[in-house]
Amino acid sequence: MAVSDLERRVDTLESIEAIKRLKHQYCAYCDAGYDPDGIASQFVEDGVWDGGDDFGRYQGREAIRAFFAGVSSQIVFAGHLVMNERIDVDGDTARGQWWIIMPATMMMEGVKTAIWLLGEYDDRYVRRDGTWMFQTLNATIHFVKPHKDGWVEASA
Amino acid sequence: MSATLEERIQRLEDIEAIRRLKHRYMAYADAGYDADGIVTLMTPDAVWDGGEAFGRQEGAEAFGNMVREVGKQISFAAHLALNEIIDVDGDTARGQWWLLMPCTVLNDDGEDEARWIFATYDDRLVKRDGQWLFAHTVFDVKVFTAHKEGWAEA
Repeated sequence: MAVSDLERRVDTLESIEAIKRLKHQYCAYCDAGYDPDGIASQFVEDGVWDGGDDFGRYQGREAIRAFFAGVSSQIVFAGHLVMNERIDVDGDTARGQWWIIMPATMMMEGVKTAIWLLGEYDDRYVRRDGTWMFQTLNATIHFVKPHKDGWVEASA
Repeated sequence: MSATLEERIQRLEDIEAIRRLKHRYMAYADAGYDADGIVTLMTPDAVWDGGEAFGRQEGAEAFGNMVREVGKQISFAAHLALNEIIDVDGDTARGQWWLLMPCTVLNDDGEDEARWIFATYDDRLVKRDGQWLFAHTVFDVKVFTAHKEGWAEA
């Protein structure tokens, strides 16, 4: 019997929920000291984490794991707070666009510094064996600014 | 794996209902810490554990009393709830959230002070007579600091 229209509609809603959960779990891993194994497990084997000029591009689970193993010494506290998601599902692939606002404590020239990071994500997801995973995570950073300085110059 | 369509829709509805419950809780808190409103969202024997920062309250009544006291100290707050991870299992569920909260707090000098709270919630929920309610909450404050101080040392 063909998959019913109703079943397809329910599957799309379930996929949107699953992708939100995937993203929020990614953020939770990042907040928990950038758990390298947790983060890597959410990407397909040849997945890509692309943080642009600011943070670099890493292809494959091993490269992603190695990158994140070093992050927590530079960013000692962070809340990866994501919002405004636009999630488009097409069968077993999907695109998710998000905003992130992140209060964090970063090492800047050896000094712990309270900062705000503002950015956007443009992610591609694939469903493997019923589980949604990251194919690519693309982060565009608008600014990383010390809390006390504000961000007037960066918003021009 | 062989959940019926109705069961699958039920799960989606439960997730959405739990989101709405959490956002209502936040709206009551934003509206001057409406304790009478907040306690309607909890089981009578609910536990709210705010750790060292806010203490542990057993029962909705005790929690309501705490909320009234908090309301005397915090004259403005926006409880912004984010990053939910919601897992439903029949009539019980777990909800994990972030809280980003700009607020105005009476400081030790009796002056209003702009502050930030960054915190996480770990909620256990139960469905009673078709209504989701909070049964157990762990509120973990990561940062509670004056805006002008920042949080580098927090």
